[in-house]
Amino acid sequence: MRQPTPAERLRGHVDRILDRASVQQSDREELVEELYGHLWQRWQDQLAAGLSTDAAADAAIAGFGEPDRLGRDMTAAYHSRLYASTIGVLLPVVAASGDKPHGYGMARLFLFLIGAVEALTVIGVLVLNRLTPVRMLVAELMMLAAVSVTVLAYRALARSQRWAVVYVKFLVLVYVAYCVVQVFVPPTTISITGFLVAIFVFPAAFDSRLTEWVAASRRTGPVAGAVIVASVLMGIAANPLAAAIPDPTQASPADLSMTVRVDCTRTAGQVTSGTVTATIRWVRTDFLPEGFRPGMSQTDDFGVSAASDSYVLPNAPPFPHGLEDGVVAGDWAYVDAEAGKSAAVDVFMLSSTFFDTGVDQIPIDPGSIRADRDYVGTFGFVSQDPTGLPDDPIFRIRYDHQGRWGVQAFATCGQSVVGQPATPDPPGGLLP
Amino acid sequence: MSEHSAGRPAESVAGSPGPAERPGDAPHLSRGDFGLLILGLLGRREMYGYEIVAELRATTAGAIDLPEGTVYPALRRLERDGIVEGHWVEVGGGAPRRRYYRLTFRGEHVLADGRQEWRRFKTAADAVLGES
Repeated sequence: MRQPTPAERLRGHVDRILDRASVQQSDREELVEELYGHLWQRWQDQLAAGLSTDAAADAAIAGFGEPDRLGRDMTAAYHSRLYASTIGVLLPVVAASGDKPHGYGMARLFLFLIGAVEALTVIGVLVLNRLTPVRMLVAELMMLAAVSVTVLAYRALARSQRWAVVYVKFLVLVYVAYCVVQVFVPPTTISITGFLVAIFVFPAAFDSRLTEWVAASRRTGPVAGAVIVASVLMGIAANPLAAAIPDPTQASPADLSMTVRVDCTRTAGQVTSGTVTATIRWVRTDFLPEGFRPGMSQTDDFGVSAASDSYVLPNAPPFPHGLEDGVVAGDWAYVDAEAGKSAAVDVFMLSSTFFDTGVDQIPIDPGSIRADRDYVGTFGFVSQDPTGLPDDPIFRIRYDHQGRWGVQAFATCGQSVVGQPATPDPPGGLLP
Repeated sequence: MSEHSAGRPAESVAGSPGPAERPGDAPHLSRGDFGLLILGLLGRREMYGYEIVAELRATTAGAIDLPEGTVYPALRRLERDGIVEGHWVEVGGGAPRRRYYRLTFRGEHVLADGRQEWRRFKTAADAVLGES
Protein backbone atom coordinates (compact mmCIF):
# COMPACT_ATOMS: atom_id res chain seq x y z
CA MET A 1 0.00 0.00 0.00
CA ARG A 2 1.37 3.39 -1.02
CA GLN A 3 2.34 5.70 1.81
CA PRO A 4 0.89 9.21 1.56
CA THR A 5 3.30 11.89 0.54
CA PRO A 6 4.07 14.66 3.03
CA ALA A 7 1.91 17.04 1.00
CA GLU A 8 -0.97 14.57 1.19
CA ARG A 9 -0.48 14.23 4.93
CA LEU A 10 -0.57 17.99 5.35
CA ARG A 11 -3.70 18.20 3.25
CA GLY A 12 -5.21 15.34 5.25
CA HIS A 13 -4.63 17.26 8.48
CA VAL A 14 -6.42 20.28 7.03
CA ASP A 15 -9.32 18.06 6.01
CA ARG A 16 -9.55 16.55 9.48
CA ILE A 17 -9.78 20.03 10.99
CA LEU A 18 -12.42 21.25 8.59
CA ASP A 19 -14.38 18.00 8.77
CA ARG A 20 -14.96 18.96 12.38
CA ALA A 21 -16.02 22.49 11.55
CA SER A 22 -19.36 23.78 10.35
CA VAL A 23 -18.20 26.04 7.56
CA GLN A 24 -19.84 26.90 4.29
CA GLN A 25 -18.34 25.22 1.26
CA SER A 26 -17.24 28.54 -0.24
CA ASP A 27 -15.37 29.49 2.95
CA ARG A 28 -13.97 26.00 3.24
CA GLU A 29 -12.15 26.21 -0.06
CA GLU A 30 -10.27 29.34 0.99
CA LEU A 31 -9.58 27.91 4.43
CA VAL A 32 -8.10 24.77 2.90
CA GLU A 33 -5.72 26.88 0.87
CA GLU A 34 -4.76 29.10 3.79
CA LEU A 35 -4.24 26.32 6.33
CA TYR A 36 -2.43 24.14 3.86
CA GLY A 37 -0.21 27.08 2.95
CA HIS A 38 0.71 27.47 6.61
CA LEU A 39 1.53 23.79 7.04
CA TRP A 40 3.45 23.78 3.77
CA GLN A 41 5.63 26.70 4.84
CA ARG A 42 6.24 25.14 8.27
CA TRP A 43 7.19 21.92 6.54
CA GLN A 44 9.61 23.82 4.27
CA ASP A 45 11.16 25.58 7.25
CA GLN A 46 11.62 22.29 9.09
CA LEU A 47 13.25 20.79 6.02
CA ALA A 48 15.57 23.78 5.85
CA ALA A 49 16.38 23.20 9.52
CA GLY A 50 17.62 19.75 8.60
CA LEU A 51 14.72 17.47 9.42
CA SER A 52 13.85 14.59 7.15
CA THR A 53 10.84 14.88 4.87
CA ASP A 54 8.57 12.84 7.10
CA ALA A 55 9.89 14.28 10.35
CA ALA A 56 9.33 17.79 8.98
CA ALA A 57 5.74 16.89 8.11
CA ASP A 58 5.26 15.37 11.57
CA ALA A 59 6.55 18.53 13.21
CA ALA A 60 4.38 20.78 11.07
CA ILE A 61 1.25 18.75 11.88
CA ALA A 62 2.05 18.46 15.59
CA GLY A 63 2.66 22.18 15.94
CA PHE A 64 -0.54 23.14 14.20
CA GLY A 65 -2.91 21.83 16.86
CA GLU A 66 -5.56 19.20 17.51
CA PRO A 67 -8.18 18.90 14.76
CA ASP A 68 -11.07 18.61 17.25
CA ARG A 69 -10.20 21.83 19.03
CA LEU A 70 -9.38 23.76 15.89
CA GLY A 71 -12.57 22.53 14.21
CA ARG A 72 -14.67 23.72 17.12
CA ASP A 73 -12.89 27.06 17.21
CA MET A 74 -13.39 27.47 13.50
CA THR A 75 -17.11 26.74 13.84
CA ALA A 76 -17.34 29.28 16.63
CA ALA A 77 -15.58 31.83 14.42
CA TYR A 78 -18.29 31.50 11.79
CA HIS A 79 -21.26 31.02 14.08
CA SER A 80 -22.32 31.79 17.62
CA ARG A 81 -20.79 29.84 20.48
CA LEU A 82 -24.17 28.22 21.12
CA TYR A 83 -24.34 27.06 17.53
CA ALA A 84 -20.77 25.84 17.70
CA SER A 85 -21.46 23.73 20.77
CA THR A 86 -24.77 22.28 19.54
CA ILE A 87 -25.71 22.27 15.89
CA GLY A 88 -22.13 22.85 14.83
CA VAL A 89 -21.16 19.58 16.48
CA LEU A 90 -23.97 17.71 14.76
CA LEU A 91 -23.80 19.36 11.39
CA PRO A 92 -20.24 19.87 10.25
CA VAL A 93 -20.01 20.42 6.55
CA VAL A 94 -18.35 17.67 4.64
CA ALA A 95 -18.78 17.49 0.93
CA ALA A 96 -20.67 14.35 0.05
CA SER A 97 -18.23 12.21 -1.80
CA GLY A 98 -19.22 10.61 -5.05
CA ASP A 99 -22.50 8.90 -5.81
CA LYS A 100 -24.95 8.18 -3.06
CA PRO A 101 -24.69 4.58 -1.88
CA HIS A 102 -27.45 2.02 -1.78
CA GLY A 103 -29.66 2.69 1.20
CA TYR A 104 -29.14 6.43 1.17
CA GLY A 105 -32.46 7.23 -0.50
CA MET A 106 -34.49 4.99 1.80
CA ALA A 107 -32.72 6.26 4.90
CA ARG A 108 -33.35 9.86 3.89
CA LEU A 109 -36.99 9.16 3.03
CA PHE A 110 -37.37 7.53 6.44
CA LEU A 111 -35.93 10.59 8.16
CA PHE A 112 -38.20 12.83 6.12
CA LEU A 113 -41.30 10.87 7.12
CA ILE A 114 -40.29 10.69 10.76
CA GLY A 115 -39.62 14.42 10.79
CA ALA A 116 -42.95 15.10 9.09
CA VAL A 117 -44.84 13.01 11.65
CA GLU A 118 -43.01 14.72 14.51
CA ALA A 119 -43.73 18.15 13.04
CA LEU A 120 -47.41 17.27 12.59
CA THR A 121 -47.51 16.11 16.19
CA VAL A 122 -46.11 19.43 17.34
CA ILE A 123 -48.79 21.25 15.36
CA GLY A 124 -51.49 18.80 16.38
CA VAL A 125 -50.85 19.22 20.08
CA LEU A 126 -51.26 22.96 19.65
CA VAL A 127 -54.31 22.81 17.42
CA LEU A 128 -56.19 20.14 19.37
CA ASN A 129 -55.45 21.94 22.63
CA ARG A 130 -56.24 18.83 24.64
CA LEU A 131 -53.40 19.00 27.12
CA THR A 132 -53.15 21.00 30.30
CA PRO A 133 -50.70 23.89 30.05
CA VAL A 134 -47.64 22.37 31.72
CA ARG A 135 -48.19 19.07 29.99
CA MET A 136 -48.55 20.82 26.67
CA LEU A 137 -45.32 22.71 27.28
CA VAL A 138 -43.45 19.53 28.16
CA ALA A 139 -44.86 17.63 25.21
CA GLU A 140 -44.13 20.45 22.79
CA LEU A 141 -40.57 20.95 23.99
CA MET A 142 -39.84 17.24 23.75
CA MET A 143 -41.37 16.95 20.31
CA LEU A 144 -39.58 20.09 19.10
CA ALA A 145 -36.29 18.66 20.31
CA ALA A 146 -37.04 15.41 18.51
CA VAL A 147 -38.06 17.07 15.25
CA SER A 148 -35.03 19.39 15.40
CA VAL A 149 -32.63 16.49 15.66
CA THR A 150 -34.46 14.64 12.91
CA VAL A 151 -34.18 17.67 10.61
CA LEU A 152 -30.49 17.98 11.46
CA ALA A 153 -30.01 14.29 10.78
CA TYR A 154 -31.80 14.67 7.45
CA ARG A 155 -29.39 17.44 6.48
CA ALA A 156 -26.38 15.69 8.00
CA LEU A 157 -27.06 12.54 6.02
CA ALA A 158 -26.77 14.56 2.81
CA ARG A 159 -23.36 15.66 4.09
CA SER A 160 -22.35 12.02 4.62
CA GLN A 161 -22.20 12.41 8.39
CA ARG A 162 -21.77 9.26 10.38
CA TRP A 163 -24.01 10.34 13.24
CA ALA A 164 -26.98 10.69 10.88
CA VAL A 165 -26.66 7.02 9.90
CA VAL A 166 -26.35 6.07 13.57
CA TYR A 167 -29.52 8.05 14.21
CA VAL A 168 -31.35 6.23 11.45
CA LYS A 169 -30.17 2.86 12.72
CA PHE A 170 -31.26 3.61 16.25
CA LEU A 171 -34.66 4.81 15.09
CA VAL A 172 -35.11 1.71 12.97
CA LEU A 173 -34.16 -0.58 15.86
CA VAL A 174 -36.64 1.14 18.14
CA TYR A 175 -39.43 0.78 15.57
CA VAL A 176 -38.62 -2.85 14.89
CA ALA A 177 -38.37 -3.63 18.60
CA TYR A 178 -41.73 -2.00 19.13
CA CYS A 179 -43.17 -4.05 16.29
CA VAL A 180 -41.80 -7.27 17.80
CA VAL A 181 -43.13 -6.43 21.25
CA GLN A 182 -46.57 -5.76 19.83
CA VAL A 183 -46.59 -9.11 18.05
CA PHE A 184 -45.51 -11.19 21.02
CA VAL A 185 -46.88 -9.37 24.05
CA PRO A 186 -50.63 -9.59 24.66
CA PRO A 187 -52.82 -8.06 23.49
CA THR A 188 -51.03 -8.96 20.31
CA THR A 189 -51.29 -6.59 17.39
CA ILE A 190 -49.31 -5.96 14.27
CA SER A 191 -47.81 -2.52 13.80
CA ILE A 192 -48.05 -1.71 10.11
CA THR A 193 -45.50 1.07 10.51
CA GLY A 194 -43.08 -1.17 12.34
CA PHE A 195 -43.60 -3.88 9.74
CA LEU A 196 -42.85 -1.50 6.86
CA VAL A 197 -39.78 -0.15 8.66
CA ALA A 198 -38.51 -3.68 9.27
CA ILE A 199 -39.03 -4.70 5.66
CA PHE A 200 -37.84 -1.63 3.80
CA VAL A 201 -35.76 0.65 6.03
CA PHE A 202 -33.88 -1.87 8.15
CA PRO A 203 -31.94 -3.38 5.24
CA ALA A 204 -31.14 0.07 3.89
CA ALA A 205 -29.99 1.52 7.22
CA PHE A 206 -27.73 -1.42 7.97
CA ASP A 207 -26.34 -1.74 4.46
CA SER A 208 -22.54 -1.78 4.72
CA ARG A 209 -22.25 0.55 1.73
CA LEU A 210 -24.07 3.27 3.61
CA THR A 211 -21.82 2.76 6.62
CA GLU A 212 -18.70 2.91 4.47
CA TRP A 213 -19.97 6.06 2.76
CA VAL A 214 -19.91 7.98 6.03
CA ALA A 215 -16.79 6.33 7.45
CA ALA A 216 -14.62 9.36 6.67
CA SER A 217 -16.67 11.66 8.85
CA ARG A 218 -16.28 12.24 12.54
CA ARG A 219 -16.99 9.35 14.86
CA THR A 220 -20.17 9.54 16.86
CA GLY A 221 -18.91 10.54 20.29
CA PRO A 222 -20.70 10.39 23.61
CA VAL A 223 -22.28 13.82 23.14
CA ALA A 224 -23.77 13.05 19.76
CA GLY A 225 -24.73 9.59 21.01
CA ALA A 226 -26.56 11.06 23.96
CA VAL A 227 -28.34 13.53 21.68
CA ILE A 228 -29.41 10.72 19.38
CA VAL A 229 -30.75 8.51 22.16
CA ALA A 230 -32.44 11.39 23.96
CA SER A 231 -34.12 12.75 20.86
CA VAL A 232 -35.48 9.36 19.81
CA LEU A 233 -36.76 8.65 23.30
CA MET A 234 -38.26 12.11 23.59
CA GLY A 235 -40.12 11.65 20.33
CA ILE A 236 -41.54 8.38 21.58
CA ALA A 237 -42.21 9.34 25.17
CA ALA A 238 -43.44 12.90 24.74
CA ASN A 239 -47.16 12.18 24.86
CA PRO A 240 -47.33 9.48 27.54
CA LEU A 241 -44.80 11.31 29.71
CA ALA A 242 -46.64 14.59 29.38
CA ALA A 243 -49.88 12.88 30.34
CA ALA A 244 -48.30 11.35 33.42
CA ILE A 245 -46.49 14.29 34.94
CA PRO A 246 -48.20 16.30 37.66
CA ASP A 247 -49.35 19.68 36.50
CA PRO A 248 -49.23 22.34 39.20
CA THR A 249 -51.76 24.40 37.28
CA GLN A 250 -54.34 21.68 37.80
CA ALA A 251 -56.59 20.70 40.65
CA SER A 252 -55.60 17.53 42.46
CA PRO A 253 -57.12 15.17 45.03
CA ALA A 254 -55.46 17.28 47.70
CA ASP A 255 -57.81 20.11 46.79
CA LEU A 256 -60.88 18.17 47.88
CA SER A 257 -62.00 16.05 50.82
CA MET A 258 -64.99 13.74 50.88
CA THR A 259 -66.76 11.72 53.56
CA VAL A 260 -69.48 9.15 52.88
CA ARG A 261 -71.87 7.93 55.54
CA VAL A 262 -74.55 5.25 55.23
CA ASP A 263 -77.38 4.94 57.79
CA CYS A 264 -79.69 1.94 57.53
CA THR A 265 -83.05 1.01 58.99
CA ARG A 266 -83.60 -2.69 59.64
CA THR A 267 -86.55 -4.97 60.07
CA ALA A 268 -85.83 -8.39 61.52
CA GLY A 269 -82.16 -7.76 60.87
CA GLN A 270 -82.56 -6.94 57.19
CA VAL A 271 -82.11 -3.50 55.69
CA THR A 272 -85.38 -2.03 54.52
CA SER A 273 -84.38 1.59 54.01
CA GLY A 274 -81.66 4.09 54.72
CA THR A 275 -79.81 7.21 53.69
CA VAL A 276 -76.48 7.86 52.03
CA THR A 277 -74.76 11.12 52.84
CA ALA A 278 -71.73 12.37 50.95
CA THR A 279 -70.03 15.49 52.23
CA ILE A 280 -67.60 17.19 49.88
CA ARG A 281 -65.38 20.09 50.83
CA TRP A 282 -63.12 21.95 48.43
CA VAL A 283 -59.94 23.37 49.89
CA ARG A 284 -59.70 25.76 46.97
CA THR A 285 -61.92 26.51 44.04
CA ASP A 286 -59.79 28.76 41.86
CA PHE A 287 -59.11 25.74 39.68
CA LEU A 288 -62.77 25.31 38.89
CA PRO A 289 -64.75 25.04 36.70
CA GLU A 290 -62.54 23.08 34.33
CA GLY A 291 -59.63 22.42 36.58
CA PHE A 292 -57.68 25.44 35.45
CA ARG A 293 -56.77 28.73 36.90
CA PRO A 294 -59.04 31.54 35.72
CA GLY A 295 -58.15 32.82 32.30
CA MET A 296 -56.78 29.57 31.01
CA SER A 297 -58.40 28.02 28.02
CA GLN A 298 -60.38 24.83 28.07
CA THR A 299 -58.15 21.87 27.57
CA ASP A 300 -58.28 18.37 28.81
CA ASP A 301 -56.21 15.30 29.19
CA PHE A 302 -55.80 12.77 26.44
CA GLY A 303 -58.97 10.98 25.47
CA VAL A 304 -61.53 11.38 28.15
CA SER A 305 -63.33 14.68 28.32
CA ALA A 306 -65.91 14.62 31.06
CA ALA A 307 -67.48 17.09 33.37
CA SER A 308 -66.62 17.02 37.02
CA ASP A 309 -69.14 14.56 38.36
CA SER A 310 -69.99 12.64 41.44
CA TYR A 311 -70.80 9.01 40.89
CA VAL A 312 -72.86 6.79 43.09
CA LEU A 313 -72.65 3.10 42.53
CA PRO A 314 -74.62 0.77 44.76
CA ASN A 315 -73.58 -2.78 45.32
CA ALA A 316 -70.61 -2.37 43.13
CA PRO A 317 -68.98 -5.44 41.75
CA PRO A 318 -67.42 -7.68 42.93
CA PHE A 319 -69.77 -7.40 45.88
CA PRO A 320 -72.23 -10.28 46.24
CA HIS A 321 -75.37 -8.34 45.45
CA GLY A 322 -77.05 -8.58 42.14
CA LEU A 323 -78.16 -5.31 40.70
CA GLU A 324 -81.67 -6.61 40.50
CA ASP A 325 -82.04 -5.98 44.20
CA GLY A 326 -85.10 -3.87 44.35
CA VAL A 327 -84.35 -0.55 45.87
CA VAL A 328 -86.07 2.75 45.33
CA ALA A 329 -84.00 5.77 46.21
CA GLY A 330 -84.87 9.38 46.75
CA ASP A 331 -83.39 12.74 45.72
CA TRP A 332 -79.73 13.33 45.34
CA ALA A 333 -78.27 16.78 45.47
CA TYR A 334 -75.36 18.64 46.87
CA VAL A 335 -76.44 21.40 49.18
CA ASP A 336 -74.35 24.11 50.71
CA ALA A 337 -74.50 23.11 54.37
CA GLU A 338 -74.26 26.73 55.51
CA ALA A 339 -76.42 28.55 52.99
CA GLY A 340 -78.82 25.74 52.26
CA LYS A 341 -78.52 26.36 48.53
CA SER A 342 -78.20 23.61 45.99
CA ALA A 343 -74.79 23.39 44.44
CA ALA A 344 -75.93 21.20 41.62
CA VAL A 345 -77.39 22.30 38.34
CA ASP A 346 -78.93 18.99 37.47
CA VAL A 347 -80.47 16.90 40.19
CA PHE A 348 -81.61 13.49 39.15
CA MET A 349 -84.62 11.86 40.69
CA LEU A 350 -83.43 8.39 41.42
CA SER A 351 -85.82 5.63 40.57
CA SER A 352 -85.79 1.92 40.09
CA THR A 353 -84.08 2.46 36.76
CA PHE A 354 -81.16 3.66 38.77
CA PHE A 355 -80.36 0.12 39.50
CA ASP A 356 -80.71 -0.94 35.93
CA THR A 357 -77.42 0.78 35.27
CA GLY A 358 -76.25 0.93 38.80
CA VAL A 359 -74.69 4.33 38.14
CA ASP A 360 -75.84 7.85 38.32
CA GLN A 361 -73.93 11.00 37.72
CA ILE A 362 -74.65 14.33 39.27
CA PRO A 363 -72.93 17.19 37.51
CA ILE A 364 -71.64 19.70 39.96
CA ASP A 365 -72.03 23.36 39.20
CA PRO A 366 -68.57 24.71 39.91
CA GLY A 367 -69.81 28.28 39.80
CA SER A 368 -71.76 27.75 42.97
CA ILE A 369 -68.95 26.10 44.89
CA ARG A 370 -66.98 28.05 47.46
CA ALA A 371 -63.88 26.94 49.28
CA ASP A 372 -63.96 25.66 52.84
CA ARG A 373 -67.70 25.00 52.84
CA ASP A 374 -69.35 21.61 53.23
CA TYR A 375 -71.55 20.45 50.39
CA VAL A 376 -73.76 17.63 51.52
CA GLY A 377 -75.47 15.26 49.17
CA THR A 378 -78.08 12.94 50.67
CA PHE A 379 -80.43 10.42 49.22
CA GLY A 380 -82.71 7.88 50.78
CA PHE A 381 -83.21 4.34 49.61
CA VAL A 382 -86.04 1.89 50.23
CA SER A 383 -86.12 -1.82 49.57
CA GLN A 384 -88.92 -2.83 47.19
CA ASP A 385 -89.08 -6.12 49.08
CA PRO A 386 -90.89 -5.39 52.34
CA THR A 387 -88.83 -8.05 54.08
CA GLY A 388 -85.66 -6.11 53.32
CA LEU A 389 -82.45 -6.62 51.36
CA PRO A 390 -80.72 -10.00 51.56
CA ASP A 391 -77.41 -8.30 52.33
CA ASP A 392 -76.35 -4.90 53.52
CA PRO A 393 -75.95 -2.60 50.50
CA ILE A 394 -72.56 -1.11 49.80
CA PHE A 395 -72.35 2.24 48.09
CA ARG A 396 -69.50 3.79 46.20
CA ILE A 397 -69.49 7.56 46.04
CA ARG A 398 -66.97 9.01 43.72
CA TYR A 399 -65.97 12.48 42.68
CA ASP A 400 -64.44 12.45 39.24
CA HIS A 401 -62.42 15.40 38.04
CA GLN A 402 -62.32 15.76 34.29
CA GLY A 403 -61.57 12.09 33.92
CA ARG A 404 -58.07 12.75 35.27
CA TRP A 405 -58.41 11.81 38.89
CA GLY A 406 -61.02 10.95 41.45
CA VAL A 407 -61.78 10.68 45.11
CA GLN A 408 -63.95 7.80 46.15
CA ALA A 409 -65.22 5.95 49.18
CA PHE A 410 -67.00 2.65 49.70
CA ALA A 411 -69.40 2.60 52.65
CA THR A 412 -72.04 0.28 54.00
CA CYS A 413 -74.53 0.49 56.81
CA GLY A 414 -73.22 2.27 59.89
CA GLN A 415 -69.97 3.37 58.26
CA SER A 416 -68.54 6.83 57.76
CA VAL A 417 -65.68 6.59 55.31
CA VAL A 418 -63.21 9.23 54.18
CA GLY A 419 -62.69 9.27 50.42
CA GLN A 420 -59.32 8.33 49.02
CA PRO A 421 -57.64 9.42 45.79
CA ALA A 422 -58.43 7.06 42.99
CA THR A 423 -57.37 6.73 39.42
CA PRO A 424 -59.98 7.41 36.79
CA ASP A 425 -62.35 4.63 35.90
CA PRO A 426 -61.60 2.86 32.68
CA PRO A 427 -63.01 4.39 29.52
CA GLY A 428 -66.55 3.26 28.96
CA GLY A 429 -67.80 3.81 32.44
CA LEU A 430 -67.84 2.32 35.84
CA LEU A 431 -69.61 -0.88 34.91
CA PRO A 432 -68.85 -3.40 32.21
CA MET B 1 1.08 39.01 29.99
CA SER B 2 -1.08 38.58 33.00
CA GLU B 3 -2.12 35.15 34.17
CA HIS B 4 -5.64 36.39 34.80
CA SER B 5 -7.45 38.28 32.15
CA ALA B 6 -11.14 38.06 32.97
CA GLY B 7 -12.98 41.34 32.81
CA ARG B 8 -10.56 43.26 30.65
CA PRO B 9 -12.14 45.22 27.80
CA ALA B 10 -9.85 43.53 25.36
CA GLU B 11 -12.14 40.55 25.51
CA SER B 12 -14.54 42.37 23.26
CA VAL B 13 -12.00 42.48 20.49
CA ALA B 14 -12.72 39.04 19.17
CA GLY B 15 -15.76 37.49 20.69
CA SER B 16 -16.41 36.23 24.14
CA PRO B 17 -13.55 35.20 26.36
CA GLY B 18 -12.36 31.66 26.40
CA PRO B 19 -9.13 29.95 27.20
CA ALA B 20 -6.86 29.06 24.36
CA GLU B 21 -4.73 25.95 24.37
CA ARG B 22 -1.50 26.47 26.23
CA PRO B 23 1.35 24.10 25.65
CA GLY B 24 3.89 23.83 28.40
CA ASP B 25 4.11 26.88 30.63
CA ALA B 26 2.67 29.33 28.12
CA PRO B 27 0.61 32.06 29.74
CA HIS B 28 -3.14 31.76 29.77
CA LEU B 29 -4.69 33.77 26.94
CA SER B 30 -8.31 34.67 26.53
CA ARG B 31 -9.63 35.05 23.03
CA GLY B 32 -9.74 38.76 23.61
CA ASP B 33 -6.10 38.86 24.63
CA PHE B 34 -5.11 36.81 21.63
CA GLY B 35 -7.12 39.02 19.31
CA LEU B 36 -5.52 42.13 20.74
CA LEU B 37 -2.04 40.67 20.28
CA ILE B 38 -2.82 39.92 16.65
CA LEU B 39 -4.07 43.46 16.20
CA GLY B 40 -0.87 44.72 17.78
CA LEU B 41 1.20 42.85 15.23
CA LEU B 42 -1.00 43.90 12.32
CA GLY B 43 -0.68 47.46 13.56
CA ARG B 44 2.96 47.28 12.53
CA ARG B 45 2.36 45.95 9.04
CA GLU B 46 0.11 43.57 7.18
CA MET B 47 0.97 39.93 7.77
CA TYR B 48 -0.24 36.46 6.85
CA GLY B 49 -1.09 33.76 9.36
CA TYR B 50 2.24 31.96 9.43
CA GLU B 51 4.03 35.25 9.77
CA ILE B 52 1.78 36.31 12.67
CA VAL B 53 2.57 33.11 14.55
CA ALA B 54 6.28 33.45 13.91
CA GLU B 55 6.30 37.14 14.82
CA LEU B 56 4.37 36.49 18.02
CA ARG B 57 6.79 33.78 19.01
CA ALA B 58 9.81 35.91 18.23
CA THR B 59 8.49 39.09 19.82
CA THR B 60 7.62 37.34 23.06
CA ALA B 61 10.81 35.27 23.03
CA GLY B 62 8.72 32.14 22.94
CA ALA B 63 6.66 33.03 25.99
CA ILE B 64 3.53 32.90 23.84
CA ASP B 65 3.72 29.73 21.85
CA LEU B 66 0.22 28.60 21.00
CA PRO B 67 -0.69 25.82 18.59
CA GLU B 68 -0.18 27.53 15.27
CA GLY B 69 -3.62 26.74 13.90
CA THR B 70 -5.35 28.76 16.62
CA VAL B 71 -4.45 31.97 14.81
CA TYR B 72 -6.90 31.22 12.01
CA PRO B 73 -10.15 31.03 14.00
CA ALA B 74 -9.02 34.25 15.70
CA LEU B 75 -8.35 35.91 12.34
CA ARG B 76 -11.76 34.74 11.07
CA ARG B 77 -13.48 36.31 14.07
CA LEU B 78 -11.61 39.56 13.58
CA GLU B 79 -12.48 39.57 9.90
CA ARG B 80 -16.11 38.71 10.64
CA ASP B 81 -16.28 41.68 13.01
CA GLY B 82 -14.79 44.02 10.43
CA ILE B 83 -11.65 44.62 12.45
CA VAL B 84 -9.23 43.18 9.91
CA GLU B 85 -9.50 42.46 6.22
CA GLY B 86 -7.69 39.85 4.21
CA HIS B 87 -6.49 39.60 0.64
CA TRP B 88 -4.66 36.94 -1.30
CA VAL B 89 -1.15 37.38 -2.59
CA GLU B 90 0.52 35.15 -5.13
CA VAL B 91 3.95 34.02 -3.98
CA GLY B 92 5.21 32.05 -6.95
CA GLY B 93 7.85 29.41 -7.01
CA GLY B 94 5.32 26.65 -6.42
CA ALA B 95 4.38 27.95 -2.97
CA PRO B 96 0.73 28.29 -2.07
CA ARG B 97 -0.86 31.73 -2.08
CA ARG B 98 -0.80 33.67 1.16
CA ARG B 99 -3.71 35.50 2.71
CA TYR B 100 -2.46 38.75 4.15
CA TYR B 101 -4.38 40.64 6.81
CA ARG B 102 -4.40 44.31 7.65
CA LEU B 103 -6.29 46.49 10.07
CA THR B 104 -9.42 48.18 8.89
CA PHE B 105 -10.27 51.73 9.96
CA ARG B 106 -12.39 50.24 12.70
CA GLY B 107 -9.58 47.87 13.59
CA GLU B 108 -7.22 50.79 14.18
CA HIS B 109 -9.68 52.27 16.65
CA VAL B 110 -10.20 48.93 18.35
CA LEU B 111 -6.44 48.53 18.67
CA ALA B 112 -6.05 52.04 20.09
CA ASP B 113 -8.83 51.43 22.60
CA GLY B 114 -7.39 48.03 23.45
CA ARG B 115 -3.96 49.47 24.10
CA GLN B 116 -5.41 52.16 26.34
CA GLU B 117 -7.45 49.69 28.32
CA TRP B 118 -4.51 47.35 28.58
CA ARG B 119 -2.29 50.08 30.02
CA ARG B 120 -5.01 51.02 32.48
CA PHE B 121 -5.33 47.40 33.54
CA LYS B 122 -1.58 46.98 33.77
CA THR B 123 -1.28 50.08 35.94
CA ALA B 124 -4.02 48.82 38.21
CA ALA B 125 -2.55 45.33 38.38
CA ASP B 126 0.92 46.70 39.10
CA ALA B 127 -0.51 48.81 41.90
CA VAL B 128 -1.91 45.69 43.50
CA LEU B 129 0.82 43.20 42.72
CA GLY B 130 3.77 45.58 42.69
CA GLU B 131 6.46 45.71 40.05
CA SER B 132 9.44 43.59 40.78
